[in-house]
Amino acid sequence: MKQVESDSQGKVKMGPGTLYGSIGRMLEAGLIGETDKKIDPDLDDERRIYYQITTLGKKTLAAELDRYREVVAIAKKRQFA
Amino acid sequence: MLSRQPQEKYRACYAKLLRLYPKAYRDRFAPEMDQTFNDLCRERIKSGEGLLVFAFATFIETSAAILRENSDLILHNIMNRSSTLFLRLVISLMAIAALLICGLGVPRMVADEVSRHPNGAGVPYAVMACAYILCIPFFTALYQAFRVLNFIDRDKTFSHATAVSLRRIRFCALVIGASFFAGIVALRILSAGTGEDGAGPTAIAILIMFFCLIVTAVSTVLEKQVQKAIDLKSESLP
Repeated sequence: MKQVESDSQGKVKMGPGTLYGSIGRMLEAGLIGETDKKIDPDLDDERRIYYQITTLGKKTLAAELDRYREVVAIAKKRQFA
Repeated sequence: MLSRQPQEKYRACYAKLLRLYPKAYRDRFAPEMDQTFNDLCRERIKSGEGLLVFAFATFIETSAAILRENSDLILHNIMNRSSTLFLRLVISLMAIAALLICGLGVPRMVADEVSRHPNGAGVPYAVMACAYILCIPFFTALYQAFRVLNFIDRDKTFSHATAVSLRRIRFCALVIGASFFAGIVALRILSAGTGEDGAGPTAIAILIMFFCLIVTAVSTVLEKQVQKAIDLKSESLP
């Protein structure tokens, strides 16, 4: 949540409801999966679950980024950007 | 007794709020969400920020997410059930029609018959008794059909319970069909030499027998398919 806020320069603030809703949908779609890797052992808690992007998730992200690039390219071509 | 820390109070309220999520979602994510809320509260306290506005905003945001998840679940259930909705409607209509015939049609027909032939009053009453007895296999079959539709909705189509229900439907259809056949034979024997034309009831009985035959055939084929799928599933298990 902090990452999203900092990446968007505070424009996007994500709460637990939105975050876990998105996690649920991404898990269902197979874009992310649970992992045993502990990122911060100090903060460890048995209820803390870590997620990582799957191969399908990486492919989907790449395809989505390509789509954004195409949109930007079209906008540039038509001198909107 | 010391009053609880604000963080604990907010956390308890948040845990209560999480109970409003659909059960599957709650079982999967509520402990993590509770933990995340606690972490966020702790971080804010560490950095000297107040909790009231943050807690209020998080409660509103989570309430909106709860609303979305519940409406998604309702929509999903409706979409899942729509495939069997038509068949449920047909079964319900068949049940209503049978109830109307048994409750209103049969007594009226018997009363007419008794008033026309006061001497042969025993036969219409026997027919009425048979009709009511046949309601047992008929409504059993409808109930079993409803059960099969429920299994389909719950993704348990290829289960032993479905095969059992289909077998019961077939048995009920055979009982009804055989009863109507016996009824036709009895009607022919009783009406022989009386000059009565039993063509109307015979035609209706033949139609019902034909319908029973179709139900028997369909339920037999479906049961075989279900059984085959169950066998395949059990073979593929290690």
